[in-house]
Amino acid sequence: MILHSLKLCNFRQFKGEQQLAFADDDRKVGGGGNVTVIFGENGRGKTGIFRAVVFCLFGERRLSQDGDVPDAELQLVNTSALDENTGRPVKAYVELQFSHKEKHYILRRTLLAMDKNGITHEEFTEVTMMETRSTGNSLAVAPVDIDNVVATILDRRVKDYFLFDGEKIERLTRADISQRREIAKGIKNLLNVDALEIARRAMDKITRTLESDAREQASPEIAKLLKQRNDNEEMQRQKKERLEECGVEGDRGRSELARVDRELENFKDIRHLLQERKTAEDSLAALDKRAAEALEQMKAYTGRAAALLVGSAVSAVFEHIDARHQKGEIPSEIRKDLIEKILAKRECICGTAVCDGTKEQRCIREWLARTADAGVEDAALTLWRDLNGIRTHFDDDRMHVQNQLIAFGNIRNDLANTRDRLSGIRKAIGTSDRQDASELDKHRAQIDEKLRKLEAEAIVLEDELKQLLQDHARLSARIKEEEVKANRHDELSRRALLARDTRDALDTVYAEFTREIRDIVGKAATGFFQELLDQEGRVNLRTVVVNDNYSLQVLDRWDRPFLANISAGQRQVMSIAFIAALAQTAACNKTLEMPLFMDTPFGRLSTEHRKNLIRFIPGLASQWVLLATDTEFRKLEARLLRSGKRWGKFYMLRASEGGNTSIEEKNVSDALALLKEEDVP
Amino acid sequence: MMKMDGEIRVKTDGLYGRLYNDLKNSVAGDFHEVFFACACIGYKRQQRKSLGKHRDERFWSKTITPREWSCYYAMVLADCDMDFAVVQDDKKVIMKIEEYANAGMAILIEERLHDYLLSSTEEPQLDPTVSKELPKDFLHFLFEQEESNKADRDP
Repeated sequence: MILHSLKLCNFRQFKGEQQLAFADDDRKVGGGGNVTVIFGENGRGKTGIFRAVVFCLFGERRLSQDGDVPDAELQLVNTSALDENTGRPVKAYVELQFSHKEKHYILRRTLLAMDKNGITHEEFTEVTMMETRSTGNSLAVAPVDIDNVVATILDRRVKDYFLFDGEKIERLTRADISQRREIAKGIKNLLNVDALEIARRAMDKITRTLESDAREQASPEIAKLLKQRNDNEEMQRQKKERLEECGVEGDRGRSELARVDRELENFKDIRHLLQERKTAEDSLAALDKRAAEALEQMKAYTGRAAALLVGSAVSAVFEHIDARHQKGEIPSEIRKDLIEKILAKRECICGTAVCDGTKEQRCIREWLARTADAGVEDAALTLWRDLNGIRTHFDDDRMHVQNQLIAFGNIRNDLANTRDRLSGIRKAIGTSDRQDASELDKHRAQIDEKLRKLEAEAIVLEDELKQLLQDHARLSARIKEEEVKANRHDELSRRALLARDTRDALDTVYAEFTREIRDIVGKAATGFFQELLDQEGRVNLRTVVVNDNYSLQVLDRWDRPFLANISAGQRQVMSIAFIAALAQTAACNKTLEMPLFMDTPFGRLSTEHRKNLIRFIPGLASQWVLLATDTEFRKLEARLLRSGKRWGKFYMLRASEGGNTSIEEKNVSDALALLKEEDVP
Repeated sequence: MMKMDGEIRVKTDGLYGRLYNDLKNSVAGDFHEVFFACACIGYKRQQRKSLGKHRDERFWSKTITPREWSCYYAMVLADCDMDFAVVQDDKKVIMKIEEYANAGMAILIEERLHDYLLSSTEEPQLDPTVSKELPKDFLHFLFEQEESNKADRDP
């Protein structure tokens, strides 16, 4: 299959009729080249070109990367055209011209859309195909036969290996369940053994029915073992289903992650500001908390601060009592009640008479005047001690209040500065739309967490499945032993045994088929891997293996598993080698008479790996359509591609009015002037 | 005699009922603390003011702390030439302190709280929307009074 041209009308970002021609001369020397580069920034419609080809060939509106996006959101008809024709139908179509085995085809698929009350309704209306033979005779292929004609040229099931994107490459680099699902799907599609799948499922059902009947007639011991084996199989089925669900949920999650990343890409200019805003908001919250705590502490200190205001009274009273204490007046040497008793009896305790008007009586009366009640003395002494306690803390209290006020002032200054900073950041971020980008970041973290949990669950499920399989083998052996002992030969048990053996035989056939294909794909992948690797990689890494569980493994030169030690770039090379191997296997080991579409494939590849890919792929397939962004396809890549002399077409996707894209053809010779310099390390 | 009688109903001017409540929540933990602060301010300025006709029994004297009682006794003793006979009756002590507190509250309103009060009410009432930092301003006010005291002490 050779693609010649693609015409788009009101399809996705491409408003009106636009077209591009593919470089379609695969002669190695002196030809016009077989490499087409379609260059554009993210969101300009590179994947739209890819989608147009898939839509035209197969009528499919979804790509694998669309994941869980609802059909209603996958609008194919150009939005601007719909806006300009509200309430009126808009026609859109994709026309692909291609040739295959000396026949030329023009395939056109049309759809109509109408915007009504803000809802867009799209429907496929027509598909036409013109076939022109080498003799020049043309005929229209009947619409009902079109899908069959396309299927004989490129099987729907293997189309993914000729049309692949960075996401598929990325999925294959992961050593997780999504990688194994992708590989298993690839191998099974290549096998093309639908009938075998149906036979396996039917035999499984028959086996379970017959064994259930046979169990009723079996001895208790055999019945018990048969039941255990049935339960085991049921559990295996449940675990496998859950494992499959984990894979599907994981794919959805990764697809959502990719969508979020694409959205976040629009905010990349403000991501550092969003981070700064978060830091400032956190600081503000922490300062607010500190301020609230400081205010609470101040509330607790009101009493001590107030007491400072009566410090003079406290000191004066303390000093007064203290002076009397020093003089021995408090507590008094002679108690007041004793002096009053002496004066009343007019006789001292020593027997001397104390008569009225005498000098002795005057002295005793003066003493009485200086002496206080015992209760007053006790209270005064208590007050003396308490006031002493209060006044000795005055300095500390004063200092503490002062420190609290200073500390709060500092917090308030920090709060003002942080608020100013935050206000500046918010101003720099701009509209509320952009401010909401941090929500996307949170959403991304949640998806990431979910994916990790799913992966952990899948590992547990796989371990449990292994255990169940071991138990199953043990139970089967026991059942066989018991049946031999019981010498069971009834018709029903024989049928059940036959059904089980048949099912197991089909499983073996299936396993053999897949093993064979795995080996073939593994060998092809190893060849491509060696071609694409840099010098150092070639020395250390030897073989790509597709394991029994459909995971990929790389063996080193001593045939030891080495995948865990290879770099992210080498993993990506391994993925590309595997996809190329699938494509080659699908094409029955010939040069691929198919175009290879690669959407942003360079990702993490080093310069050496890019060089190898650019050198190798144009010779592998009949055509190479490279969809690339400015970060992937720079002067370096352009120079390399030009030096291979197979670069025939160069298109740039430019933004035009209303968010649309226009396809501009450029001369390959002008490409260098239009591209960025490579990054200087 | 200085028994720290807990059975006395401490009174404040009825006009300040709402404000006592607001200050209890905003700058202190309880009525006795607000009352103590006001009494200290009144004493510091040597101002006493009789409670108006409408007086409210604000709190029980049992909530007054020993430290606050000691300060009250000191204030009264310092005022009456250390005549211990004056502090024999706690009710009389409290009555005198109520007058200091009443004057203190008037000073507080005049010099600090006016910016924090709702203008629409006759009875002084804190405006909660502007009172967030009142604990700090209240403490600062007390500290300012103390600093002026210090200036008097250390000219």
